[in-house]
Amino acid sequence: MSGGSARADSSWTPVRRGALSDDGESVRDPQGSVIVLNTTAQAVWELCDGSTTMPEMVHALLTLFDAPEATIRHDVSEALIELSRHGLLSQPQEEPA
Amino acid sequence: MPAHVTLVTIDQVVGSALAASLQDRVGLDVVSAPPTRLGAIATSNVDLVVLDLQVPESLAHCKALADAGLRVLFLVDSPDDEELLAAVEAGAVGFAASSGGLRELEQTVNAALRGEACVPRRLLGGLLRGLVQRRRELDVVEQRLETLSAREREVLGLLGDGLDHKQIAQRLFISPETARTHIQRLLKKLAVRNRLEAANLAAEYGISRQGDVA
Repeated sequence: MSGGSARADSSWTPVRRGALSDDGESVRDPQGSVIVLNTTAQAVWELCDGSTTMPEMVHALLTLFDAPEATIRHDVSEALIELSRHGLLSQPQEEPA
Repeated sequence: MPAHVTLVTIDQVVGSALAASLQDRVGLDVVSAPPTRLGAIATSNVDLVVLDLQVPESLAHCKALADAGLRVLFLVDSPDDEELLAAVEAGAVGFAASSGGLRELEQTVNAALRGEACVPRRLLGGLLRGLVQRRRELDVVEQRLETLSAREREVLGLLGDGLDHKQIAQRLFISPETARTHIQRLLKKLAVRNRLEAANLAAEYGISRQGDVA
């Protein structure tokens, strides 16, 4: 994995890095590949601001999407793992000064 | 059996034109209704109400419709994050941008009828951040409520029921001074400015004297 791992602890506050497309539906990873974001990943991407934890993401999406909490939690986790795998997330302290 | 969709806009000409165009494109039963019909719509068998956010008291109408089991999709122009948040909290299933054109409206209506959340991409970030912020504020209030003693919680419930300190004293068989002291302490613990704010908070969090009084 590159760019930080998708840690499961509830205090993790990932930061997004990468260029979002104009329509907001895809992002370009550090290698230049275009990654298409599904609905959950688009929401997770928006919340990767360095201050929002995974439980907070789950709660926000739960308010918005009509799905069971377990499903939302799974989808958020999957999105974080995928974004991490493509090097699109980092820890707040890993950001360049 | 086509789904029933009702469009409620301020401008009836716009509403009728949109309804006719949508009906033509998506094969739904789409009608336009003035805001004055919202009360009747709540008791009808409509599957989806597309409500213009600019309609007076649209949030209160949305809540009434949602409470009645209807899906409400807001037609928005350029809403701020607070309006979006309030709409979601009022029970809206999503938003359709009035500037998005008929094709986008058609897709959003169909998505709403399928039970999907409908938030235009450009509005998603602000709305999500607002939801996170609101949750954090609620967490802070809940933490403060946990610091109340059983007696203070009881007094808070009575404030929420609209009692003043003398009535609270009578109800709890304590002196008015003691009731006043409990009130002052709970105001400080909850970081609210006055009894009205405390009473509103009690109502919002469902704190009642019921079950608290021995």
